[in-house]
Amino acid sequence: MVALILKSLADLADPRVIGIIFLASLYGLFIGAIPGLTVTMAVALFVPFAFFLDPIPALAAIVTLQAMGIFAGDIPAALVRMPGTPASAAYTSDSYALSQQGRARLVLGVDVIASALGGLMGAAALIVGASALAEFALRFSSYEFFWLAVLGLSTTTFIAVASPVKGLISVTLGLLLSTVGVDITLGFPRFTFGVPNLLGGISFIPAMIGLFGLSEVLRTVLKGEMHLAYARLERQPSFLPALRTVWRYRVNALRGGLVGLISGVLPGAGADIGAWLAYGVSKRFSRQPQAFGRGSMEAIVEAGVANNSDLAAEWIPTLVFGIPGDAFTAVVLGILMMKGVRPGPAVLHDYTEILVAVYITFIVANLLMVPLGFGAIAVSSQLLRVRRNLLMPAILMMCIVGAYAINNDLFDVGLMLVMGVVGFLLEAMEFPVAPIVLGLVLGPLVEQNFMISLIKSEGHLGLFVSRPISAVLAALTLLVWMLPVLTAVRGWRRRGAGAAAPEGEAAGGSG
Amino acid sequence: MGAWDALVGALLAVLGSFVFLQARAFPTLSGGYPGPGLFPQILGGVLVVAGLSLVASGLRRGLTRRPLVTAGAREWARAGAVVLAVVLYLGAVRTLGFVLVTALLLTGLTLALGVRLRWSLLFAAGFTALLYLLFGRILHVPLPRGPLGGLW
Repeated sequence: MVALILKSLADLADPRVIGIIFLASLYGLFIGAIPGLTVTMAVALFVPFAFFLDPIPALAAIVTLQAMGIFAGDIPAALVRMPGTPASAAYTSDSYALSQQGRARLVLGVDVIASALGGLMGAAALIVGASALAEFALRFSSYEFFWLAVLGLSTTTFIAVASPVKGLISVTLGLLLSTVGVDITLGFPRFTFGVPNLLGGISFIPAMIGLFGLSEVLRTVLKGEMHLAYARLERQPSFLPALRTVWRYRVNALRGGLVGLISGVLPGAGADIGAWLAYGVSKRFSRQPQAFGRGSMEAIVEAGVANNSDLAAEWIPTLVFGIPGDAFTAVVLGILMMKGVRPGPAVLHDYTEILVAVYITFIVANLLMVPLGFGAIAVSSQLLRVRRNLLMPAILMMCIVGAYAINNDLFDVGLMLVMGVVGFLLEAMEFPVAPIVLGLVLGPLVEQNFMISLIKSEGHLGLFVSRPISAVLAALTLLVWMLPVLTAVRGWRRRGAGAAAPEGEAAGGSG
Repeated sequence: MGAWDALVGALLAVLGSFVFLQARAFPTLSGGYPGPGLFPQILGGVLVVAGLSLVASGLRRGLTRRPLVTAGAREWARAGAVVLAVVLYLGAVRTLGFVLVTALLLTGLTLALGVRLRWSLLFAAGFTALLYLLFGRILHVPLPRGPLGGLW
């Protein structure tokens, strides 16, 4: 084990890998700090580069850019009241209220420390949790994998989505896209309409770049805000005060970390939901709940730790089951498969070296976050002054070249365009986009395990639930499917009763 | 929102039934086992049901027509320019080559977004060079060449 860790450290100590980690940090900080540009877009644009890198530097870069980007999302939240990424949305009002009181630098310092702390908690959970879960998952058969994939897709579709019907449509569209191309059982070309480029299926990377890159460019251009007004930073040292503040709220930090871990392991709940959950928990236990939304430091600490501890925890189901919890880890899964790494219970055994390197990167990236984060705060007003009318054309060209670079095929650029416009329209109509990506990535897994199970059971559907673990997973899936129905029924009953129950009581009861 | 929901729901239901009918014609495995058509048939069915329920909820909410995205004429023109840029790239890159097309599109787009000419030219030249070095030289992507061969 020690030899293995040393070997991975040696892999990571390669100056090229260090250089890549450093560049990925700057890239993550930059994209995270620009409102509207998400970490998911950052990784989608990075995939073409990952394609050309070895697995270890590619994954190290992804881990780093994600951690840095989620922290950097806090910067515009505090300075311009716009979360840089959705993960910072929960405590944006609190951060901005405090910076209006002249405490912007302290808030941002607390954000750095809380993010690094959360990231380290997540790394610890990933290291312990992945091996424990993998042991358990070794007993899984095609039935269990089928249900796991369906459960993962169901939670993304139905939980924390404004309209369950629209979530269902998004995930179905993603699954349908995954069926395009030569089918695995008979080699029959499905939905290719005689286009030879479609025989190999819809390329995941151009689709991804379109959905998260081009559609973001279109949204930003339509919003028309090319310059931002920002709050000024006061000139004060903030490292020690920030450290003291986090220490004062250490109970919040620990609790936020735990909430983040739970939301990370759950499929379908990403860092943004983790932050909202932690914010809610914090408010419930707080002695000053009235301060929430008006500049509550404990909320910032608790939710700021949560959205970073979520990140590493997201990797647990992605690596052990091959079931990503959100759009970001769906991209990670795509990259793993592109690199020939097959996630699953045996992943720890088969690719130990790569996984140990990922673990170490999680720790290194979060330690590196402290100096780089304070550096980013120092230049934050310049960061926010970056002109979008130069940035958007640049991102568009990156989308075009990136989509082309994987297969050197202009067809993929066309695919990127179509997916970008469709993704933009769907999002404008309030369809969630993440389930499309999950459906596209998980489609082959769902279909394969479904067909294998069906043939094994000779058509007896009862066998899908005859094994104890598969029965539990099936029951959980059913429960998730019932949630929208239950909420609808409760809505009718409440309307029938003349809205007698106060809102807060009902929300508390469902926790 | 109601009118849009109803419209999109109807389109999705049509798409779902098309998928279902197509997939029914797919070959099956011997011995009566379902083949490549089963999974798409299920998905097509789900799409029909979900699409129709979207139509129903849209009708219930009322067919008030509101614009999908509220943006001024200038903003729409800019979004159109973004889409047009990709189309132009697809049409021109094989004849004009990567460097020329990228530089031209970057200039055009930045001008369309309100950047002054001098900055626009400078930025286009610099960013094209960066992309060329990054993808063409470091990652060895065979970027489309121009009529003069090599770089142009």
